[in-house]
Amino acid sequence: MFFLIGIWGSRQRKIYAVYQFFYYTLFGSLFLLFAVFILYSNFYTLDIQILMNTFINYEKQLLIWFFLFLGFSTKIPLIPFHGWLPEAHVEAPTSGSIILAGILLKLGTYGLLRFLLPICFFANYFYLVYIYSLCIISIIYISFIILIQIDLKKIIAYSSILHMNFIILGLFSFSVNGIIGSIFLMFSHALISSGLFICIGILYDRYKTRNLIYYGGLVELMPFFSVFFFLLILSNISFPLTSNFIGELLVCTGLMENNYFLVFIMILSTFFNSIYSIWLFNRIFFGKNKFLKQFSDISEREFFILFSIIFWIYLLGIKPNFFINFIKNYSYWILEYINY
Amino acid sequence: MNNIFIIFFNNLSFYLFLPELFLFIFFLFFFILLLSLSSLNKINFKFPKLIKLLLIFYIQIIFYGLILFFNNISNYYIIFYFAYLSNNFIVFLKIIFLLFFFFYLITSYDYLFNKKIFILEYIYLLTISILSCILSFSSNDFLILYLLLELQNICVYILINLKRNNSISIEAAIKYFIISSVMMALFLYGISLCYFSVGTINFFDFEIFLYNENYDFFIFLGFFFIFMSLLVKNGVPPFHIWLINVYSGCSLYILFYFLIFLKFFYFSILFRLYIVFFELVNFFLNDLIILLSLFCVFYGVWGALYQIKISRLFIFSSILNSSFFLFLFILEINETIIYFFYFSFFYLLNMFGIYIILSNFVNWIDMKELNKITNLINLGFFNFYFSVIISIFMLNFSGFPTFIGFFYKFFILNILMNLNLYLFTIILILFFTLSFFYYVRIIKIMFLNKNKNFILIKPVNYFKIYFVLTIILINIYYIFFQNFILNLFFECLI
Repeated sequence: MFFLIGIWGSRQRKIYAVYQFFYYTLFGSLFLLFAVFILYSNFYTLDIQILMNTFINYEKQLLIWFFLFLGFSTKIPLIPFHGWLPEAHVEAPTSGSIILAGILLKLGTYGLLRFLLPICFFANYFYLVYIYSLCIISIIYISFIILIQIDLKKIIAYSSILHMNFIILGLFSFSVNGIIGSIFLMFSHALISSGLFICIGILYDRYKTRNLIYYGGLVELMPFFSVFFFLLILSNISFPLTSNFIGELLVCTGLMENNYFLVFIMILSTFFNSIYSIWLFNRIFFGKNKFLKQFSDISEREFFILFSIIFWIYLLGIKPNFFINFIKNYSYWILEYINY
Repeated sequence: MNNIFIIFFNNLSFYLFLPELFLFIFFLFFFILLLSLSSLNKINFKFPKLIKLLLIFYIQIIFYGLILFFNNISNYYIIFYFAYLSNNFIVFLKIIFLLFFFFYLITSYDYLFNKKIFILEYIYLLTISILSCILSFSSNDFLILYLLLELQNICVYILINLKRNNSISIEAAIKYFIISSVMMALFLYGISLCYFSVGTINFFDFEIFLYNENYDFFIFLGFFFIFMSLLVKNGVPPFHIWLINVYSGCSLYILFYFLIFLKFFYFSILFRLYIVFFELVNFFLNDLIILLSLFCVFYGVWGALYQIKISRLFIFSSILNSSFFLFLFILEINETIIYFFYFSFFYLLNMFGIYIILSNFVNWIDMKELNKITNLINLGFFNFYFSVIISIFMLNFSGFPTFIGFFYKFFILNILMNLNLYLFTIILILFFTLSFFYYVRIIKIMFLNKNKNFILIKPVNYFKIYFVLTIILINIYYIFFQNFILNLFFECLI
């Protein structure tokens, strides 16, 4: 990623962004290494299957949980460590930001699900309050901060932080619905955000700007493209029939077992989510066209790329069992370790 | 007269001592040749072909000496009235030392001729210091060790002062002279204290004495002085300030002689003493060693952040690397021997690679030597493979995960965690993250910055690039087959 952003990035600010990306993730990962050392020095094994079945001392659990969480939360990224993500997304080329949103962010939540939750079962409940409060703060803070952004990529980057917070809430609901929902959300968010980044890459190729001020009335110039963008925006606000809707519904039902207040906050944030994404669509495609003169709709290659993404989003939205059957058994199995 | 020869050649100690003797005799032969030629002034420029032939002859001698070390009758022997010891560990030290010296001479062949240095005098001083190093590895007596160290120091004073008209190098030589003479006095004082308490200067007697747990205050104080004097000579912080002045005063060729050979030499001597005085070290000096290694990390990282020249950056990174050596003195002997060779082997290998690259770091247009990090700008665009090689070395030194430097840190941190030093490991981790900054900055300058005012750097010879590529291949091989090299060390030593 360092070279991907650094060499093929667009502006001179890319070096700053690269340094930020490198240092945030390195800082986190070395603390993760520290947690691994604690595990190894106490149990002389790093086999996850054995560690899941061993009883770890409560005080040790709190320590291990904290350092593991530092490592994963810089990858997700949670709110105190989120500074690198908008910078890296803005400076990265289209393919770079697709890899970032689709793969790298999911590493953090994958680590939480696979390593942190089953090993430190006691510490999960100890730190639950802090996790919930962090998630609430980040959801509210970010949904307000998106409204003032004018860079297209920054808006999508912040919205991806918001969706990652939903995933964490689902994981820490400690219920089957929540965990299935969060895994489902991971998959659907990877599709949607990468689709949106491809769309912005198409716009950037045509008009060489990502600033919202210069866009407007694009529906006259790019009618096909506007349809695709609209479908992606609908899935971003978790409209029914899209895959994001299923994921968020499952997370909400999972959280209902624990906490009503959190569900209220989540629904509030989906409201904000719909505000900024529809407003974004409105500003790009409607209104007066002042600056853009060139007529160039999407090519055949771009059509098939976007179609293949949108096909999967709506297929999973209409028939979610197609995907849920794969992950159902695993999430039941991992829940036994979490509720040890 | 005949009888004396017969006794000498029938004696087994002659055959055991053969490799050193062979090297010594041929160096003398070389020295006589030199003396016969040195009546002429500036022979470099008058008979360049003769000098080149002599150099090739000289390099061959070192190679034959290396083969003799491999072919010795037995590795374990004690000769000359318990004053000269050899075992697997010491033979391994000698072989590594000579092997790297052999490669070092081959690769610096061009550099010496391009710089128009008066080679023969210079090489002769190098050989005396190398011979004294090899002999002092197996010295089993404090007095012999002291004499060999002094012999080695005398050569180094002159080697630093190679650029005779340059005031900075004169200052560096004088500084090194003062520091090392004071420290050698301290060393001698330590020996006399040890002699006062035990009544001997032989290492075997010390081992027997300490095995019976007869701890005396004076033997502890004496060993402490010896230990500290060697550490100061090695430039371990907080006694490192002289080192930076001295190293930046001498030429690149001598600088890497310091960084590659002398650093390894002093640590191996310390390690020899550590094996003898193991119980003293483990009881009294553990806390001091931990503190000193923390200083090493702190000064190594903090000083390197502000450097502009590349060679100065590697001085600081060598200070950082010496912390890894110091950590080994906390452990027990059987673990440390393997780790010591593991660290030192890869440290020597990577420093050697850096030396080859930096000796070729020349402006292609006016053939001036380049110093600064910013001279590397845009190298990634016109010499891609060379810059990839440099960036691999940088990642090695920085200890990026999956590169070789990471495994040093992995072992060290793992050891510290087993000793339950949690806070200490966290501090180390924070400093290691800081240390990434200046290595990654070089990669950034090569690949990411685009500037029109860049310098064309001369590409490396085909001959030298083979060395660099083999070093990288060994590094990469280790990443995938870690057990192979550790087992190799294990089988060689035990």
